[in-house]
Amino acid sequence: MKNSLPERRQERGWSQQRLADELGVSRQTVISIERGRFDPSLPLAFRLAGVFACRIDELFDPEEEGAQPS
Amino acid sequence: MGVEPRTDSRTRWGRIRFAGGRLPAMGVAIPIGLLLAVGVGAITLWTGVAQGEHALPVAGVFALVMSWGLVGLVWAIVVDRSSLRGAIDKPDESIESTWLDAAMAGAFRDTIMLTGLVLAILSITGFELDVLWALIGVIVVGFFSTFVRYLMAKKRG
Repeated sequence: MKNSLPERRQERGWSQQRLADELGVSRQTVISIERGRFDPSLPLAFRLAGVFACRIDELFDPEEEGAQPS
Repeated sequence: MGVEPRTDSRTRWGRIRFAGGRLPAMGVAIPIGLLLAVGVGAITLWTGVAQGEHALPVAGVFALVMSWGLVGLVWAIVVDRSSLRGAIDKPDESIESTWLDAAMAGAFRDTIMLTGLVLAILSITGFELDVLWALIGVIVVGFFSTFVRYLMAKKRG
């Protein structure tokens, strides 16, 4: 699922490891979410929204996934 | 001038999950694991697996081979994950957990299919397979399939 995680993380000047530590997950998890290869669980999505002080639907864009060519 | 308190008390091997975490996990795992390994050695003597003039050395080798695995097993049981340095707080929400779940599900399918195939071959050919080797085969296929599938999932990212 496409998301604005990389932009928001870079705005804060955080590394992927720093974000992973904030969320309590592995760095690989952050990498995979940013690349759109891993959809986080709902609790993790809420923690992401909490970290970036925004709503979940502002972070993730489900429409983009459906737009991919089959 | 006072000494600054340490901000991270976590250690490489962690502390035990009971008794208030006062003891290092390895300090508990090593003696208990070695004791269990000696017990395994004693069982080989008692059951006659190790017999003859070299019974004691054979039992010792059994105990030695089993010792590292038993120490590791006891450590995994007694350690408090949150006391491990570098351990992530939410492993179940990390992608590695998803990879492992998928790998184990795939390995289960592989094991069932392979067992069915071998069973069919044995039924047709009439060949008899020792149950010990059959069970070892099932374990090996399960572990190998899980390992390969996990690596593939990791490579895909």
